Amino acid sequence: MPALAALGRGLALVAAVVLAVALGARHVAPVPDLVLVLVVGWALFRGPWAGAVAGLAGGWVLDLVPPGAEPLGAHALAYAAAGLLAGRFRHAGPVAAPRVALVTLAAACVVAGVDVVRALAVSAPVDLTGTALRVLLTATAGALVVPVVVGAERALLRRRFG
Amino acid sequence: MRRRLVLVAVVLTALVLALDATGLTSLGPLRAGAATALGPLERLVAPRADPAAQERLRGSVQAAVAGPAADDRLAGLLAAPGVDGTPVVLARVVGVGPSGPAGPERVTIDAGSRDGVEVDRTVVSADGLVGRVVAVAPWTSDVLLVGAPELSVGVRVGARGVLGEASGTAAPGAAAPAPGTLSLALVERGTMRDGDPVVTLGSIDGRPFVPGVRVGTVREVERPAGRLAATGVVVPAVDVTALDLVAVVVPAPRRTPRPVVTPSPRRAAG
Repeated sequence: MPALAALGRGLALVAAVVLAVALGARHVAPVPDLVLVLVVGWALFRGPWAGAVAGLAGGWVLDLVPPGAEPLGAHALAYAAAGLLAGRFRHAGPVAAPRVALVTLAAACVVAGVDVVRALAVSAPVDLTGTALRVLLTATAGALVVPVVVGAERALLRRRFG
Repeated sequence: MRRRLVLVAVVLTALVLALDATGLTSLGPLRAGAATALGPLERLVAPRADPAAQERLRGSVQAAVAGPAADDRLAGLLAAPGVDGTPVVLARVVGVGPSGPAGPERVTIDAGSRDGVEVDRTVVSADGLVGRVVAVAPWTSDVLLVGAPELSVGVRVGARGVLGEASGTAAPGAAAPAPGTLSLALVERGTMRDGDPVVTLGSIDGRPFVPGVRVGTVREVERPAGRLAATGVVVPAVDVTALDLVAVVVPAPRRTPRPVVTPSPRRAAG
């Protein structure tokens, strides 16, 4: 049963990346970072280590699903750090939407920060306005989608333990 | 125990990252495997061209071979400099990758090795250079776009064809280009002006770039102190955020040998 749940989470990550890629092909821009939203949801529900695992898996999926990104593994490490950070903000009981948005914002800043530093290191152009807009959009999407992710995880737990 | 497993996974990822970044081993098979499995899915969820437009497109392919084309986009694509006369594989963009700090860097197109696409082939649209193929799967390929930090193009600038290099990262001595533009540095003494056209120089066997494809126009020419040649900015001819129909250049093998010219000994001596 846990293996099945892990498979489901993996498929959700793949679906999130394919959805983002297909939205891009329809010239929707900016696209919120749906992988990060899932990672933050799992990190807030299960803690920093589970968040790091989810981030690692999500980054790998993002790097491998075509067209992917170069070099392999860079996104995995960045998302793992973001998941670890988001998991630190887990606490018992219901979580308010603004808090979820703030945690997603912090995680998105980690991922975007790694990208920006990598671009600056090779003196490539950086569009700070566009990046900030994407980070804010991801935070908004986090406030909307994380409750759904957490709800699904709760339902899974209830089914397992009654 | 669990934390140890996570740490092992992180270390393994860092190892793969180091291998890929240094290029010690090719991780192409890993990428190709993922693309083979997920490429068809991306083609399935890609935006559909409406059937009437597709029919028109198919008709205009036949018309373009015989004479004037009905579809303006396709006619423009087939008449684009550097493309006319060479065989191309038409493809549509089915996926746009995660945006980098300055916009999209990679896209997926719906043509793959089964259509004759190979790694390091030129990708063009009706407006000009789109990028080059970096990964190929049976049904899809991935294209590195003009403006990505990893992509640099040998170019000819202006009517005199001064040699230069256009790149997504700043040329030595120049500031980083604005998002959506390329940094241009001449590699020989020569002049360039605002508005000069920039075309590809071309590579051996046309890989990764065939010669004569429009790249963009020159802006903001500067002469940095301590540099032999001028630097500038190229505004790309192609808007990589609005790609749809593209073509991959697949040069046919040369059938007729080039004439060999031998200078006469007397003139060479004189």
